[in-house]
Amino acid sequence: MVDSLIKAPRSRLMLRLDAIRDSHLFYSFTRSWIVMVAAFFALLIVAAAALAPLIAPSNPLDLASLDLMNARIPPRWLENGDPQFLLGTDDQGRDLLSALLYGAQVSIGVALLSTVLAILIGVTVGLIAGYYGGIIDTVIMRLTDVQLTFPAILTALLVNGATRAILGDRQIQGSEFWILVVSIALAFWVKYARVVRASTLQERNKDYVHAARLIGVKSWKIIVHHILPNVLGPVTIIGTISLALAIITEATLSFLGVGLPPSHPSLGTLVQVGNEFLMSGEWWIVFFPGIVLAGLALSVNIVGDWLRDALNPKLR
Amino acid sequence: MKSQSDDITPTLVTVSKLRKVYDLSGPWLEKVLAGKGKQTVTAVDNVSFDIKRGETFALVGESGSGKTTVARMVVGLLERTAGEVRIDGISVGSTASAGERARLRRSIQMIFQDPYASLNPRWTVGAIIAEPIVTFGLIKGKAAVAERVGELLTLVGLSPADAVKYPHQFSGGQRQRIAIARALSSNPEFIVCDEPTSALDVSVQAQILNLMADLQERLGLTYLFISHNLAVVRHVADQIGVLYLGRLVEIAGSRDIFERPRHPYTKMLIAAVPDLEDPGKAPEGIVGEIPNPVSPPTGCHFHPRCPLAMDRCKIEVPAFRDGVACHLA
Amino acid sequence: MSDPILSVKDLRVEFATRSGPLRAIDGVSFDLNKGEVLGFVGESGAGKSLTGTAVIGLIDPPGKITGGEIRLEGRRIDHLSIEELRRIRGREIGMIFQDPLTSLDPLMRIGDQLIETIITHVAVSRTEARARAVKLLEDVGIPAAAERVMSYPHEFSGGMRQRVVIALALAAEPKVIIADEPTTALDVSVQAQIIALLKKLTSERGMAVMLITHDMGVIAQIANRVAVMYSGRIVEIGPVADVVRQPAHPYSMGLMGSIPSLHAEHARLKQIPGSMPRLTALPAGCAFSPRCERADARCKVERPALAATGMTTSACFHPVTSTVAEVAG
Repeated sequence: MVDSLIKAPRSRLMLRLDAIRDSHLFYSFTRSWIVMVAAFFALLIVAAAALAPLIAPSNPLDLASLDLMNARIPPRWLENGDPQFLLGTDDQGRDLLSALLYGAQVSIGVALLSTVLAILIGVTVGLIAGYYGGIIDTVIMRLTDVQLTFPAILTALLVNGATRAILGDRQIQGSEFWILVVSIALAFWVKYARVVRASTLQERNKDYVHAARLIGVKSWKIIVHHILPNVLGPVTIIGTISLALAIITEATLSFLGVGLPPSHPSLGTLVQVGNEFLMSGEWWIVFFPGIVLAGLALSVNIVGDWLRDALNPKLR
Repeated sequence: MKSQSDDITPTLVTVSKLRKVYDLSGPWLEKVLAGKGKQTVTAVDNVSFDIKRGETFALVGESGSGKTTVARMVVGLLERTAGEVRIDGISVGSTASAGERARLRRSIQMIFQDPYASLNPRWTVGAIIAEPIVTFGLIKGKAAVAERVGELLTLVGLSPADAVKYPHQFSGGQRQRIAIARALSSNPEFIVCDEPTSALDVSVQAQILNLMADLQERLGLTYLFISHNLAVVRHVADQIGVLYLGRLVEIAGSRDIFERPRHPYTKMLIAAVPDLEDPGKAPEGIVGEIPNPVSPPTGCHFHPRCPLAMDRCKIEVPAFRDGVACHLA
Repeated sequence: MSDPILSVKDLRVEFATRSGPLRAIDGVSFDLNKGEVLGFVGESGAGKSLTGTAVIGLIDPPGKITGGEIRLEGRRIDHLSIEELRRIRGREIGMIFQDPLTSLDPLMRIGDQLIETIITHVAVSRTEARARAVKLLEDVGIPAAAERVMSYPHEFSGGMRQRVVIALALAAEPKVIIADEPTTALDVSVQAQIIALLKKLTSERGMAVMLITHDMGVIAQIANRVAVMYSGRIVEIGPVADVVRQPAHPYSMGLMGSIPSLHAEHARLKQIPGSMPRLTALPAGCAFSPRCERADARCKVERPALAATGMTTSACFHPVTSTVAEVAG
């Protein structure tokens, strides 16, 4: 019942929209054209990736449609270009534009899901450590200290490698996507845990929490209903910034050959494949995936940085 | 408010020999490695008082006096090192039945100092006030709860339409009204008020103090009022206890303590309050500061600042007898 | 009377916001004479601190002085360069802030801080500056000043630290001191000592002091005159005893009535309904009119100017003629 009262009635949606338009966040957004361009670019790629099956000229996953005769055709505006393949083809005769769209879909999917998973783990652990304190807190925080001494990419590699070693290559066929998601999530949850723990420590000692404890509200309810909504601010900021990191990490893992199989390309796999042909003059195979990857990571990062500054009351 | 020292009025709250010791030494491992012994600080020492039903008992003291620690132990937010709190004869924190414990919890509420920290910024005012009602299951049905919330808002001088707003839309004084409405929502008998007006401007303070007095009269509430401001205390209290460095130095009726203060510290505190009716007069005869509670003075804690201190005061802790703890009283 | 040391005329401070400028100080004028303590009282947001900040040229953007003039001994100082202002601060205008910790460099011995300030502003040798520093610490009542001069700020108690801050403000023997809530962070008994000290120093040295505080009691004890501020304007200014006993502006009257006193027990406090309007929603006419029981149609449209009313000068079309005692009685 309390929940229903927390949220304002739906009929106030229009008021909400007005509030957003008048908000500081929206205002600072419109004041910076770089952020607007970055956000537009990121949204464009995400939308194109999401709509890949509808807008891609061909389906790169459909092996039957591939023709090795079409391999390594340059972009259409170059000599020997084929009007059928706007950005040219790769070594297997796949249309590069289609591969890019599908690849971006996979990359963004891995990045989003792993970030969500990392947030779930990190926020839960951080809330528990911060609220209960004592020995639970000490153990968890020492654990995060240890993990923080490793670079995230190394942790992801370790988790990834360990899973593959334990399950065997045959076993994991078809679930590479999820292994990637889990290994990236396990590399990134620590940040959320630490930030949420620190905020929880502060919130726990505020009087609104005391008021709830006083009337005997159960601990988990206090954590979920009272503290959680008040510690999510920094999480969204870190989430946006590390989304860019997750995209890069996915690409790195795939580039190192522990990501998705070449038959199921992501941006990282495409760069890896293209890398082999760079020296032989077929630059487009690596160039376009590389540009999309860099542009996506950069624009998401710019949006994240802006969000951090815009929400920081000290910088207003 | 009722007139003071009415002997027939039954006691509602009994606080006896309350004590709080904090362990300042670090974690066990640090202690072993650094070879440091246990270091403790006694924040509250042997504090006892009674509050009669429908009256206001005020605890006054400066920083480090332990007044907030007492308040938090009385409501059960802080564990007691020793001592007992009884409300209506039932010992708080005892192994009473679950039903009895819930009843006890419902009958004690608290109003906090900072109305900016005591209301969850992400909740609507309606949800904040409804939380005790819902938690204790006092009223069933969404409409009935909303109606009760509206009543409470009206009671504290706000409008029922304010229920859908968020705390940041209100001024400090209005927020404190919301906090009072929340405290009243479980129909408590006893409310602990921890410096409820010290974060407010003086004209708003007057509004809140008057509101609290009205509510006391209407609902027969009993208050434990924590404050550092003697003038405020004079306006609200029936009985006053003066704390110094964790110990009670004097308890007396409100009029008695201002007209005939007995402990030298009480006298000093009263002398330190600026008097608007005598402008231009600077306070005199006030010396020293509150010592660090980690290493309090021996004997009577007040002796280094006391104009009347004798050798005995440096050695012997004066017993609290007949309303005062002083070798000379 | 000789020319005032500090003269502020029609001061206006505005904050640039998206929705246009917010006027935080609107037409504030006052004179500060040699050896005079002028108190500024008002609720949070009334503009009293901002007035002090404007005088020393420390208003942070987006705030800006947009009108009026500030003269120090006849010389305009409101449009000086940052460098020129820095020379005036400390040398000609000393400052005392609420939190002594922010005014002191925690990594520097207090003696060095004092010596540095003295050498920067006064042409003396280091040895002489050192002797002056010790003398200053003695003057502000720090025991064993010659030894304590080598201590760091954290080695002092709160009250002693505030004494050091006062010594620092006096170091270059400025003509004007701006004290912004100098006793607010202190306990009552320490506050009393600091008030006594400030009173002694101002009368001994003939300094002019702008004393900004929300605590009318503090002002009553040491100020000669008081300016009552409301919504960025001075609504009443006059000798302290008159403003305290017989204010003419209804807001001042309400303010005096809402201050709890040590003399009235259990009395209901006078309260002003509502709260001060936000700067974004200032009413037309007199800003106090929505809360004022004397307000009529004229008050809602026309803004009253400061004019002689009885014993004081106030900005009201319908000044109060009775005394505080009569209103309370």
